Amino acid sequence: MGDVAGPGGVADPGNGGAGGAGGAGESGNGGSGGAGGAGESGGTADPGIGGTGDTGGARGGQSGGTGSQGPAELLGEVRALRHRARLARHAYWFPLVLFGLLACASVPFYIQHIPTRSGAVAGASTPGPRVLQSAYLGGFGLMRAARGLPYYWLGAMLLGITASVFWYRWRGNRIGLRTPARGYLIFGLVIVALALLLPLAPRYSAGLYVIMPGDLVVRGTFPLVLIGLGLCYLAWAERSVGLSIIAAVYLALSLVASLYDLENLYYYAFGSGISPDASALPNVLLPALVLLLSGAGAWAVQRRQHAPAPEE
Amino acid sequence: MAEFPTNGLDDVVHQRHRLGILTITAEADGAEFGYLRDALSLTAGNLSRHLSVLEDAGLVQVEKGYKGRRPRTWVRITGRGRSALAAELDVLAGLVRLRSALRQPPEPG
Repeated sequence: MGDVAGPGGVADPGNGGAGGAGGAGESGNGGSGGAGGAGESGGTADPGIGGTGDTGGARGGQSGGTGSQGPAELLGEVRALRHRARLARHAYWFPLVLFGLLACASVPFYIQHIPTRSGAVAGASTPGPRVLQSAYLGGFGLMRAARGLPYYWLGAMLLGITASVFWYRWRGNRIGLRTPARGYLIFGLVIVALALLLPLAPRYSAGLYVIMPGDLVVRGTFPLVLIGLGLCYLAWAERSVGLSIIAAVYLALSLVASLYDLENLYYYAFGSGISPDASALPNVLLPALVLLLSGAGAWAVQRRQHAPAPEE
Repeated sequence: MAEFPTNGLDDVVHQRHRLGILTITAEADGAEFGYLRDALSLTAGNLSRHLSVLEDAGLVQVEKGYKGRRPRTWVRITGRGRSALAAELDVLAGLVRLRSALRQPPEPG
């Protein structure tokens, strides 16, 4: 799409017309031959596109319409434009880093209230209404003793979602191309609402066991899985292969972190365990590290990509 | 007799710059006038005319606003615009297939 069409001219078309008011000029694969024209296939209508001759006008048909392009070239230009627009829109380093930092900031909640081997827990359970102590946000079973953990994750999720939406809005205004972040906001709020409300449903009804297996929430790290679901949505909204890969890897890791004590790997590797008070930390820090590293990498890549200059 | 594929081309959408405008706006929640002008290497006047054609056809919405004291114009594709773009790309893909089929050498015998 590069050339500048003439400034004047009659603005409309004619598929294969005479190049607008300015004459046939260079305008077309079959400039006067209608769609297809008497093309190169011996009258069997090479399916070229007649120049639409749209804006040639005052410049004598210099660059009207589809110009001398066939459908393959037009499709190629469409793909190139689409690719450039997607690259310009990509800004996912921010939510990756933000949620990575929020995961790191949750560490004190996991240190202070680790259950003992006997199942007894230190500290009292989190006070407050039951709806805010969701199993999906760290309020399940043994981790319930972690005072404030579900509150922390509720606040962190809402902060992360809204800050990401504002980020996309700000950046879209800056470069002149907005990412559809409203869908992410709605998706995120629905996820949080479900995380709050689903545990209130009768435990044995509606197959709740199927969608809330205890093992998945017993370590209190299920919010990391919810973050992964949000990243999957963002990958779709950004049409980003890179973020899709990151989200898939992160989601798999966060599921492992919810189902398995990663401390065991440390024990296998180094022959000694981690302090009992800190034994839950690998389950939180490893997914957080993936978010931070991939966010830093995405930042470096996206910084190099040239977005078109905004109209200032 | 089967209809020739070019009959499916929409004159409003088919013009290459308008096709470009629809392609970019379909990728975003909104594209700013300056971004479109630079991405398509058009003059402001030319882009305005193409936008008018698309807006009159109901394929895009043009919203004028301000950022501080600077006027900013945002362009959004409509549902009709998305459908028209998808139809146009289908027709173009069909033409490419037809072209390659016509170029196949005839089978011997």
